[in-house]
Amino acid sequence: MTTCEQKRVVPVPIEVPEKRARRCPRFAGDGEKKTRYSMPNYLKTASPVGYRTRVPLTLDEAERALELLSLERPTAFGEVESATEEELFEESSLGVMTARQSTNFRGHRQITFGPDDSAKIAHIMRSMDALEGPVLDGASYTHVVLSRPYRTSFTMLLTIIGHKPLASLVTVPTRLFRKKVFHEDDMPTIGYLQHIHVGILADAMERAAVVASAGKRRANVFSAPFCGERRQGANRPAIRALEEMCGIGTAERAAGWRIALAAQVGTAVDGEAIDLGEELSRKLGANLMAFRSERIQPGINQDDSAPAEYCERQDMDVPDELTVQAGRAAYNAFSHWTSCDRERAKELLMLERIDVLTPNGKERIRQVRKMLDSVSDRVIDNIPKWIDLPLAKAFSKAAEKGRKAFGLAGQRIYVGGLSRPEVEEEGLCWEQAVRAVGAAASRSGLVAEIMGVAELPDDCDLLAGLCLMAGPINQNDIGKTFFGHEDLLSHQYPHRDPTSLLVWTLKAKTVADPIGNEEQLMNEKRQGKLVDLRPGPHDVIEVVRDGKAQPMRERDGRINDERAFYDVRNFATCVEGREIPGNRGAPWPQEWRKEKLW
Amino acid sequence: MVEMEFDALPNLSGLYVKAAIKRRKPPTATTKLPDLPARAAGVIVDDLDDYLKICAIADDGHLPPTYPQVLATPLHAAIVAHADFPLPALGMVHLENRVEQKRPIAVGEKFDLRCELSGSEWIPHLGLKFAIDTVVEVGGETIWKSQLWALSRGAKKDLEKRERKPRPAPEPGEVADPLVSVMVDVPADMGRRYSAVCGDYNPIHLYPLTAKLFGFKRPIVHGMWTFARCWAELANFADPEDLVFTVGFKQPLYLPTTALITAVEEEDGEISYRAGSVDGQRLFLRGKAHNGALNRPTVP
Repeated sequence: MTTCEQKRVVPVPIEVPEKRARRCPRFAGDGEKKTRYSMPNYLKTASPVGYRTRVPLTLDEAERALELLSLERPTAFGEVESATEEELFEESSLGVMTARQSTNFRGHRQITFGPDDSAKIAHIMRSMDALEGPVLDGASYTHVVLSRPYRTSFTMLLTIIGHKPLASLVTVPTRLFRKKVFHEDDMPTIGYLQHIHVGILADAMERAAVVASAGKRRANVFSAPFCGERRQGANRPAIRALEEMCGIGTAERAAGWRIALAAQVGTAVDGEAIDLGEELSRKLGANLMAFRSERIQPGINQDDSAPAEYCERQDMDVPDELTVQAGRAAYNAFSHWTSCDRERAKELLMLERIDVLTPNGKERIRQVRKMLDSVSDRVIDNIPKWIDLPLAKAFSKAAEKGRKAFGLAGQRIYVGGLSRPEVEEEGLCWEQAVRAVGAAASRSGLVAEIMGVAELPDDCDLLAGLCLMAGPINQNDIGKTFFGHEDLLSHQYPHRDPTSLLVWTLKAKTVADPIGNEEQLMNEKRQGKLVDLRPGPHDVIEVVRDGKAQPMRERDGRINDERAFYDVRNFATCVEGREIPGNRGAPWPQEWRKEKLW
Repeated sequence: MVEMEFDALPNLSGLYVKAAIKRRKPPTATTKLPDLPARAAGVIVDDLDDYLKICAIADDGHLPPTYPQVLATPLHAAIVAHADFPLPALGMVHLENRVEQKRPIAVGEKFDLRCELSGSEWIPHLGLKFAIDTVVEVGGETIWKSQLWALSRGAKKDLEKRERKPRPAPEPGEVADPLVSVMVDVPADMGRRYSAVCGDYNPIHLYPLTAKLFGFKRPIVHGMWTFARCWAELANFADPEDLVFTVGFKQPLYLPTTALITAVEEEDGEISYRAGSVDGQRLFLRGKAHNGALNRPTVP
């Protein structure tokens, strides 16, 4: 258990370009074909997110918001205060309902306990090895988060990759069986994804408790004791006791659900409360609901049918000082979650930064794209025909479509990873280090996202955004696992046996991605069977009261229709100012929102 | 004038059958309605759970403003079933309602319910529109009242023809900055479930076959359910004290469907609301709620 001093992240304003553009979606008219650039016709969801727009912050507000990127653990909790239902809803909206790397994976569930159970959980946890910090007394409530292996339509496709033509008749079903029953992964980075998601969530939960309570509460999140076979073995009795409290039975375990982290939340003591203020908290919460993966760099990688605002290149750049701050946030997160000395963390966390606008950067990005494309080509060539042909080449078409997911555009591209031998030599748990990379990438991205709304003019959607991707890594891993390719990071770190884990692109631009990209996440008719993208609270959260677990916001014939931080009114509109039917939702009944839960 | 007085609310099904089997002629421009007051004293509601659940209204220990109207339905049926009532019961259409609530009625509170026919108007192209007033009194003080307007269709030969103007296509999307915009699934059995709660087993609400017998392509949900379901969304915004809550029923809501409920704050502080189809092509009902001050829910 070490304390690692984090460095404060300072604001770096992004210069507003003279030529600005913003998203101008319209509803498709009668008989007009709806495209990704049209407004969605409606929204029907229990998710707290909805179609949102970014909310401008002043530079001073951005500076205060950046404090959230160097939070240390609380050292104690003040008096136990029962949370209201609405506070818990908003906190969870910023946490388990949204915080993950890939929006097409619902791999988290949360069970939340009141103060009495929290005391029991604290008692159990004190018996655990590898705690990142002291377990505190006086938690007002405790979240226990379960996680399961990463499985999406992409991992289904992976099942049929890397087989020899004739042997595939046996090896494909065998691999499928092993995946289903033993939760084996097709290749290592798919297994790591589960932990990257948990790391991102853990980091978000620390901030969520602060934002949802306007700085009055703090979270003490433990992830390390649940990581890695050795620690899980040592902590088995305590983990079993927690599983019992969570009501996890054989069926859940067989489906791969395991406890991934526990977060104590309590009243901040003097000196540890974060002075965010009510107004900034609301604006920040609404922004966190609005931040989206930004894939399109106008004038670079828009598709042929894109409207004018996406076609013109914007003369903008991510300031160098901003990339320094983004790096600072990343190292903060990595050292925080590995409890590793900050300077050592900087050595362990491998970051390749590609400055796309420089000649070297351009050359490097061409190399990366070429490598990823060559993997796609080989994947398509090698898909067993006996599976692909009867399904009208569904798999090869999916692989072809997958190329889009590796679109690397933006002024700065980062590839992040670790060297497993170095991590183990340092005495760190590999899984925990992988989680920390997830936290590092998302925290680093938040620097750009927050600065992307600082002093945001009325005629811009944003000034900077982020796209956090595992797609290129997985593609590279297919190459490594099945076709003998090198790791992406080998170029920068040739003799350190690197494992790349995530790619993130920072983009300076003023026009947000088309609203149709979000619709893929929210329109049930556009969601694939394995893709369940924006859960409602009743889908993923249970609140334990009087020993009984109840789904959150499923009550007396109602489920949630409220969008978190709806009072900020940052809902997407068409150019004429009209809204998407159903997008605004409706607040949960006041009598229920104000209820003290314990 | 004879006042029908009941010690307890009468059984609705029996009254429906009685009213339905009475052979009466359609109204004309000269049809006059008699005075037919009905009264039930000492009414107490102590279990609202089923109603609240089916309408998705949160329990705040009081009757929702829509509920006394449901309680009064047997008295209305008694009026319609009365020998002196001149209009045929079958085919009557509930057009609109205006509820005025001085204060919400507490669950378990004892009150008297009074109903009477209060007016009529001949609509040349439709028939006779008539009103039933309902009053809730506690210790002689009126704390809730409503005026329900219904239509009894005239015979074709007595009605004037009206040219229908084509309606302009609805604008896509939703008005800017609504208070509420929410999709509500209304399942196929909602009519049967609501009938079980309110006692109104009109066949048009029950099954496809029974609805078809009365000219509906599918069962339709009770207008009063849709009205109450809208209240469930408005309750966060409208103060139940000194509340005026109106509704106009426009088109039937065929089951099953997904309805879109929206509410907006008007410039004068009133809340306008509507329930319609998701594509905006059909309007099931619309109305207003006001009491001077808009109540925005507070946030943490």
